[in-house]
Amino acid sequence: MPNDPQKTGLFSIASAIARQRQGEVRTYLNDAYRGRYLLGKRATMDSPGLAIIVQIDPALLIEGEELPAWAHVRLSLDGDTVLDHQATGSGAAGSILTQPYFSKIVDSQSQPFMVDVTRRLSVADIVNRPWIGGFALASLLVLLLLLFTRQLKANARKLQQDAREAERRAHLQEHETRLAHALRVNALGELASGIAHELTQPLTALLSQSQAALRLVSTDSPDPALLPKALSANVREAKRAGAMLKRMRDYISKREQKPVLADLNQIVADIAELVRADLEKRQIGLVLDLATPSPQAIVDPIEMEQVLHNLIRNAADALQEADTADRSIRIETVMPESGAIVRVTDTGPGIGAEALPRLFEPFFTTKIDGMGLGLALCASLVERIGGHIDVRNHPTGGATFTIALPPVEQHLKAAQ
Amino acid sequence: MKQFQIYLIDDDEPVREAIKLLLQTYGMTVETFGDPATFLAHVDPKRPGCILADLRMPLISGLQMHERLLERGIGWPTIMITGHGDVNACRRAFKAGILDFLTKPIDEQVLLDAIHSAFQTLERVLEKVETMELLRSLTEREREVLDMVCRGWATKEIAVALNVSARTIDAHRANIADKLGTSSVADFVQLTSAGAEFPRR
Repeated sequence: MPNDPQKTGLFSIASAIARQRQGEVRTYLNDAYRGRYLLGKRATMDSPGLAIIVQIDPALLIEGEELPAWAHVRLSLDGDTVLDHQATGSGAAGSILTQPYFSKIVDSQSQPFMVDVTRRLSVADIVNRPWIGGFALASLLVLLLLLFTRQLKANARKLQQDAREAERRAHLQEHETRLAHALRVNALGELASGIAHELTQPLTALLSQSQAALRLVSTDSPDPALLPKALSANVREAKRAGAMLKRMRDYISKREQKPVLADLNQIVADIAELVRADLEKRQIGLVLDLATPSPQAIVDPIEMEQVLHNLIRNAADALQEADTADRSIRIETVMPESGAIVRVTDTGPGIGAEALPRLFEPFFTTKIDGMGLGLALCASLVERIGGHIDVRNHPTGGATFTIALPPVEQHLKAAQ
Repeated sequence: MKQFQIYLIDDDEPVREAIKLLLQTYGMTVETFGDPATFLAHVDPKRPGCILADLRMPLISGLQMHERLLERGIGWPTIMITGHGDVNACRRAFKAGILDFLTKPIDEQVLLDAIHSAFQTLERVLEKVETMELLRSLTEREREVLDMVCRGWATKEIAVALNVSARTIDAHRANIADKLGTSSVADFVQLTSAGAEFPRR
């Protein structure tokens, strides 16, 4: 479709992105994308012809609960409006006064928006004041009645708003789940060669064992003990390969997020199996230090694996460049007095002081070909189940990421 | 063909057991080790064999193990097995003097061919070692005489060159024949050229 305005818009943006610096993220507005803005970044060094363009609906950025109902928010870039969010609370319609409240340019190189927040004063705001006491009793009664009906209407509106809010939240969560899935599939590519190696082992055993068994049955007087031994070894090896494939398939399966009561040790062991060969190839040690009995938490096991995988990958990347003799990653599970903790520590150079506080921000990255989504997603996935993720540099070098999960009882209570 | 001991080093136990079982059905003697360090600690230079080792193992790789064996004068033929068709690793392995490089899963016939060729190599290596020891048993003067004999010089010519009597040379030649177990000049030539060729590394 040569006349598709969105396509034309994308082309003009793409040509502008081509002139960006490597690693730079810039915001673009385009008439074809009304009410949206686009973030553009050049893809990796390896593929200079490609660009990453993220389309963002700023309306979804507004946290319903955090924004007061009276607020009228306007987001603009160089005078062009990106978002114009009208006040939802009472008095939005019959306003008689307008009072500017807040105006500031967002301190961000990639998204330098101007934010204007305005409060509109209404009749209701004024008549609600205590000095109304001077009015005659009759008028007061009438007014009270009036206010009462207003309140009823407001309540109804609030309910409607809550429903809309819940819907939007569900929508966001769905997006997040989809993004999580996409990143898992992406990450699996890096693991592919390691997994191929892991699958080769059982196949090697199967082949040699079967060929041995064939030779055994073709001899005149085979050792009666050897054949069953070979066959049961084959069964074991086939199951081992099957389990490996299942772990991989589960990891990239597209599915609803489903928090269940899970053993954290098992989750750590599962992801360790997936990454082991890759780390071995990169000559990075993996140490598991698991508490007994295993700490438990209400988590989605696959998403928890994903969070750990992300931390392991980052640690491995940091170690890859590190100039230390001991290159290893340590995963611990800890059972504190309440809740559960998983810690990932590496022996790398640690995290720079300027990067440390911004690590979990979306689109913040220190990697030349990174998108800056991994850790932001990690934080989001952990917070979704009531947990918290934190990072600090280790006194002896390297970084420690701590995932603190709420106690099981608390989650059950919250669910009721 | 002469059969030798096979040393199999792989960190994956089921793989070890499967390959061992297969080779046993061919009547071969296989000793298995779970890691290079254990093998290095147990290897006996007096029990030569062919080495079958996984390239990628934790701590010490197959190649590093091979190098450590060479440092200890153990140059037995080594076959590397690997789960990856990694061209660079393969090139490094051949440069380091690896006899063969097999990719997992390994087919029976490919494995047998590699092992047979390893056995032949080992036989030659051991013969050379034997020859070396024979040549080393000669005195310096005997060695000098032997070289001249091999170059086709007559006893008298050697006597003149070394400024001794022909009888002395004859006595040396008798000693040489005694030590090497042959008096044929053709055998002398073969032995010395084999000895000169070894060690290559």
